[in-house]
Amino acid sequence: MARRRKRSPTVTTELEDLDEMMETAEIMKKEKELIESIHEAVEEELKSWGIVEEEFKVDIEEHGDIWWTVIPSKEKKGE
Amino acid sequence: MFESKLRVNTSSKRVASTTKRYLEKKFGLTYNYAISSRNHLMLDFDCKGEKTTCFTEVRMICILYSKEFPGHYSVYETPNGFHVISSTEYTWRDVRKILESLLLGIKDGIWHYLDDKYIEACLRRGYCTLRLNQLRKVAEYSVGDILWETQEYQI
Repeated sequence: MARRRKRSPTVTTELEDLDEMMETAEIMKKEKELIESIHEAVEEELKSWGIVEEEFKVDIEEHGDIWWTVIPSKEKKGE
Repeated sequence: MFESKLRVNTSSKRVASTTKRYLEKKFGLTYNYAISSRNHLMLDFDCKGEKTTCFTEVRMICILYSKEFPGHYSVYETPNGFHVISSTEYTWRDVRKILESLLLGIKDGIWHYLDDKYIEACLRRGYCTLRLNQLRKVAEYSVGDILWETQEYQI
């Protein structure tokens, strides 16, 4: 009779890591798709949500030599 | 926990603003803005817990440099210090000249709170960039004069 091999704790951990990696990759893929959609249709989407334009706190005029970057916050949500 | 590495660059303030709101709503994460330019002087001060003394240094630098390189500077308080942003446009040559002069001042022990690593990074990249988070405008200087300062920082 064939004996079933027990899965070692190391393998289990690796599989859990893989699950997490896949989840992260999936979110990153969604983010990438999202950015493409932003460039195509951001205004329409936002209008449909009723989002109004946010005021910038820096009173610098828009100019071709200035660029703005939206970056993830270092703080956790709610802090 | 998933940490977003996403960066969205745009030359439009309006697109940046809507993109931020869009991403926050979509992912339930918080995002900040960063501003970058080769033509506007941007400085970062780390106050090391000494806000009032640090502000004196900010004021001195704004008065001296807005006079030497005629311009209009705004000062923003941040959680750890101050940001200075010129609304006057310079050439990168002038911005670089100011940054190099300030860096020398740090090395000579004249400036204590101005972030040298930040200046070195600007010079290396060839542009200035600041993360804008929890800002409060506290002062404005123009061509060597104090235009206004918030009451708590007035002399």
